[in-house]
Amino acid sequence: MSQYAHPEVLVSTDLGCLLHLAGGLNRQGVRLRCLHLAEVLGGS
Amino acid sequence: MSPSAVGFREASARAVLDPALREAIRRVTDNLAVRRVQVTAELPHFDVLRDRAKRIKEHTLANLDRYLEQLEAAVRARGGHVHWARDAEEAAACVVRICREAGARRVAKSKSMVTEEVELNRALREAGIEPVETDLGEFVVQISGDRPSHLIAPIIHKRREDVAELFRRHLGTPADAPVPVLTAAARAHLRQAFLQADVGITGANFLVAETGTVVLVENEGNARMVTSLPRVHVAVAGIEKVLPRLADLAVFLPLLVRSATGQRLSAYVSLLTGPRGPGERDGPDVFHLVLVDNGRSRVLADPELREALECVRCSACLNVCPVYERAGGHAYGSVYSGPIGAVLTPALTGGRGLVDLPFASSLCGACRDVCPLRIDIPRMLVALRARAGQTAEARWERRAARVAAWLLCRPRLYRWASVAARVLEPVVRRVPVGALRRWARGRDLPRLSPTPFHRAARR
Amino acid sequence: MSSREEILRAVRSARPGETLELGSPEVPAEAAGYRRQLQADPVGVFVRRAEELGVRVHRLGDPRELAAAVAQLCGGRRTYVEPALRDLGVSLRELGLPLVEWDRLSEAEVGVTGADYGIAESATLVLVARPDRPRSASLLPPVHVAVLREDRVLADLFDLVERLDGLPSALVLASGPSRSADIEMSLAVGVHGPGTVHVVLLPPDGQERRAESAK
Repeated sequence: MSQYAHPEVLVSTDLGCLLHLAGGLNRQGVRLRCLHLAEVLGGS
Repeated sequence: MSPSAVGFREASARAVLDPALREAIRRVTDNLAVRRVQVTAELPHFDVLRDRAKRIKEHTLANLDRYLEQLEAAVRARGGHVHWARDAEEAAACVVRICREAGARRVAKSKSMVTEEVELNRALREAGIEPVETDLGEFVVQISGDRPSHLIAPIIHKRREDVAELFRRHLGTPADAPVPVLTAAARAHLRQAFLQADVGITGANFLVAETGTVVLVENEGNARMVTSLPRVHVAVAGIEKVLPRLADLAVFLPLLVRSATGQRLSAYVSLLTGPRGPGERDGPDVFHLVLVDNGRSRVLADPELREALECVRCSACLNVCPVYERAGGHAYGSVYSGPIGAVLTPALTGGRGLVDLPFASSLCGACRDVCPLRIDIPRMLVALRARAGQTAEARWERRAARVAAWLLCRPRLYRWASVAARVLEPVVRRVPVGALRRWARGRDLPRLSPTPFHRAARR
Repeated sequence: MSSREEILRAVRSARPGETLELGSPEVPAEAAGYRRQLQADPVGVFVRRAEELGVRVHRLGDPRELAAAVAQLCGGRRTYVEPALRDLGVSLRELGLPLVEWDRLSEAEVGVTGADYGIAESATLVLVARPDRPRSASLLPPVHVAVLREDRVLADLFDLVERLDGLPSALVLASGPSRSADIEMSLAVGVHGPGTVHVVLLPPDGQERRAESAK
């Protein structure tokens, strides 16, 4: 889905999901930053 | 249940790369899922029926011994025989014995998940009795030597072309025949099986304790055939199929059928009680009911997993599950696939598939939402994950968790460790740790941010 | 210990502490409005929903039209008529319809039976197995003609279970023709059971109605 919507950042509160999603996207060559909500709030 | 040599992880990894399979599954599951929504919306009291059904099932399971005894008495009062099988071997052996004593050479079967669970066909063949599957999808599975991939639509993984080729070879139909021709060929071929069979074997969608009645829900008519024409009828059913009263069918039939196929009622629902009555021209002379435990009493004794026994096998959960949609039924390596299968397989077998099936889920909860009995599958998957965490295979995870817990309970030490980690990071990243390789197949070890969170938060 | 004893013992010891009540089998109050619609015009609902399933429904105004109507549906094909409709069978034979006997049922192209009840909600025929109503008559031939009195059409399953007093050896709820969607979700009709179903509706006993056929 993210390939169609062209977002810049994918945010989740679940570390397990984030790791899976980031790993999968990376292996498909999709450039998309995956951040935990805490990182967004912390100003990463 | 015949074990699959390949676990879910490998099997699903392959299935996901098969676009034709995914398309086939999606077409069926989307279709069924949409119909379910439409036909359940028609009943303003559908949720009330769900509540009722849950209550009836909980009560029945809590008093199952009483209802099983009542069922047995009712069946025997109508001249039927009741057999009890503790496990798969006993169940299969029991049916084989019944067939042998009836002098059966040919046996016609209508679709029954429990008979696949106990591998009845193999036992019959080993005893020199040839079973013929008469459900169209199961017939195709049988002649192709394949396995079913969906609870109620066994060959969704096959294309018409595959079936056409299969029928060309086995039934002599023209090449690439359309569905009506294939159907007519199957009908003619299987009609001979019905007429010549000595014994008809079915499962049971429900067993009514009050009246000793077997309820068969179908669309094709083969269950009616195998229970009208052969002189012996054997119904095989898990002990959890019991309902207390005939009146309960008014609740369960709409729930089951509307959730399964989006119909108000299936084409045929048969309520069978005992052998044929005096003076009747057809129907079996002899009726046998084989009650199968095979792990069900163990699940019943398990407060966390007991709820799984409420399943009426509608397959609504399969049709909404994103994992099933991509992996298909075969990947689950068992008779029961999809979300409920991920619970039932380890639960009934005491652990098979425990290592990966409970993890074959994003815990999205769609299954629980559509389940007519509101079975909380995600809760049970999490419970099973906890049990998986206790196995030998998970000992490194347990150790790592213990170390992490130890560290996180010591804040000063943790802060030192986070500094040290940043110094050591370039080195650590280069070392390929064998045990982590499987973990790292789909995940990347994230880079540590230059400032630890606890420092940034303090600013 | 026998298998039976072992299983029952295992089940007994698995009981949770609390005793849960079963609850009443009465129709839920929330269904009242929905059921009223069915009960207001059960025959009308039955006819509409039957046609959705591909069943042809024929409403007769006069019970004396029955033989002619059925003869037309049989269309000169070999027909088996169940013993419960013996009088109809006699009339059909007089009309020249080729009837087959029970031992030649597998040669019949049409099976004519009565139906004990109809169910409006699901356009269902309720078929009770009896010595004069064999199961196979509505199953083996590719065409099934069912004769049903209008006043026997019930609203839904709740009505049916209320009326059942004891169970026959076989009670079949038949809703539409036999079907399968196993091959690529493509609908196939007449897989094992009849592919064509006709329902002939008779007016309530002793009454005539202005003739009004559904099709």
